Amino acid sequence: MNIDKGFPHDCIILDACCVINLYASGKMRTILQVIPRNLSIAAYVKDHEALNIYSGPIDNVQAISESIDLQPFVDDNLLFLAYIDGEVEESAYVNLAQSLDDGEAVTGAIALNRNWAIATDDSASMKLFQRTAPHIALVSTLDLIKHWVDTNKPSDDIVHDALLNIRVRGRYEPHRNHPLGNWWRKFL
Amino acid sequence: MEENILDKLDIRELGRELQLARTKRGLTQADVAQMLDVARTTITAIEKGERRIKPDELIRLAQAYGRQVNDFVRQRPAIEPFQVQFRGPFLRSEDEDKEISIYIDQLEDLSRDYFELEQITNSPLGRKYPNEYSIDGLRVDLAAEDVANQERKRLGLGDGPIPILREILEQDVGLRIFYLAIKPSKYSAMYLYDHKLGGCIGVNLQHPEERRRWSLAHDFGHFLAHRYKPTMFVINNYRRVPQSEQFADYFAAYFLMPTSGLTMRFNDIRKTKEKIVVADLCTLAHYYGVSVEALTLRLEDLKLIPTGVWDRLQEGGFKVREAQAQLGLGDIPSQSSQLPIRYQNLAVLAFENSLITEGQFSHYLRVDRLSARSIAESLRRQRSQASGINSEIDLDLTEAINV
Repeated sequence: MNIDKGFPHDCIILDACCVINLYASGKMRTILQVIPRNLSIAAYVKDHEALNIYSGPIDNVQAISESIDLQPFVDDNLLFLAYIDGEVEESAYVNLAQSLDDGEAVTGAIALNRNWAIATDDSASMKLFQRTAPHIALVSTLDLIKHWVDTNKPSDDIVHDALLNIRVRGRYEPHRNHPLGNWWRKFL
Repeated sequence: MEENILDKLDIRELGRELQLARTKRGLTQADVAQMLDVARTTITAIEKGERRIKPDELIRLAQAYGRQVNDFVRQRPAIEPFQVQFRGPFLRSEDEDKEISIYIDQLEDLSRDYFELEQITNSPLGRKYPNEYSIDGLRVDLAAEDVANQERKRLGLGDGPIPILREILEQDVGLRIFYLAIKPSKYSAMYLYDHKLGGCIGVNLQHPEERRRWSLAHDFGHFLAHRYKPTMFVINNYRRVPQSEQFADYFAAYFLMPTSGLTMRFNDIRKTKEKIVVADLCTLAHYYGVSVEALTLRLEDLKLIPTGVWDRLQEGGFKVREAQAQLGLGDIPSQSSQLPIRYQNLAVLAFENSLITEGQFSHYLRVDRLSARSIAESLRRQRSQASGINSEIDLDLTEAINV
């Protein structure tokens, strides 16, 4: 998904999977800085869902769990906290909660009502949004990272390290059919 | 977005769930009414299913009850609350009620989630339940031995030790077994039966493996002979032990240490030595996966050793753990994860097939998202290692992340 020209939303709301992955990359600040849209996260997700990454030494990375601290990004206006607001969003939240976890439902309800894009790597969530809200653009962590790579042109080593961190510290691996799966594998 | 789900839900069922969640949280209707700034009668009407709840009210109630909105609006199997089942036949003091109600709720939630995962993945649990044994009018010890022998035969266990007791009861019988960190430790296990869920057992995770195995066998005995009577297995809880408890204890002894096999093994040891020593008792107990006390009392019962040996050992200050350590007897192999392996596998299956989201996946596994990812990854790795050998391997995934 190209988030440059013609991207139909002013804001992208990040769900918990995406936040964990971006934070694990070690490059979250610089990635957020180059995204040409406002970026948001539901306060519920920040407080209850996107909680930690592994940060032990590379040969035993699970030995230490590090809390995800998004406050510096919020303080620097790189990330805006979003709250469920009004009857329409409350109703959408409850409706979505029938099929989704609360963090995912809150994220979806806000996006649907405010016409924001959703950044998620969760296949079940994506399926639901594609079916029920096809006008909402869905972007993945890899879309955001590729945008950073295309814009800032960091060295291959830096990209490799960021993706490796996601795999090791965030325990995330894109699905084999992910549109950017080959791009990911090229670096790792 | 589609129409409001709250207009479609069965409001009586939702009201009942909300009422249960409130009482589990220890809140009164008046407390909740104050939180929501509504009249108490409004809460009464919602809980009775006489008034449809509004989205904002449900969101605030879920927050107040420490639950997710998802818990109230997703399709869940309706069951009779475990607390209600325990209330009648199991008479507890108010203090005991407070102590254990949280664990009864845990067992209910886990058993219900297990059933839900089976529905999501269309993988019902195979129940190989025998008919309930009738032991009325029989001598308890004889009835227990007879049932234990029949069950061993039915399950193809021969007369040796049962090293994988939990796995057999889960997979070959179809019981739902969870290990819960129950405090205080006088509570060994709880058993109950629901017609949808089948037999459910919660074993105290904090106990040593030999005691957990005894509790499992004990509650299996209840399942066989008193299937519809919920029980809380508490050590030294009775002035006069009821017959059902006597049966379950005898059953555990006979099921874990059958007369024929134990006698044969004991005699094998005796043939090679002049006299039986304490080390032999420790070794034999380890072999059967039972405590030295249970083994010694069973041998006394079989008159293979003199009556009173265990009492004398205790009076002499015998220390079981020290003796086992000196003999180099390691821990009894155990499968002690909170969740059954099949439960974990169903959760991973549902997640990998995009039937549940990552948030739901972590909720089912009772871990945070990162740990849930590690579990899914472990399964993928183990599956790829196992591919090509066409074998079914049960792996405890939560152990992979030290849960």
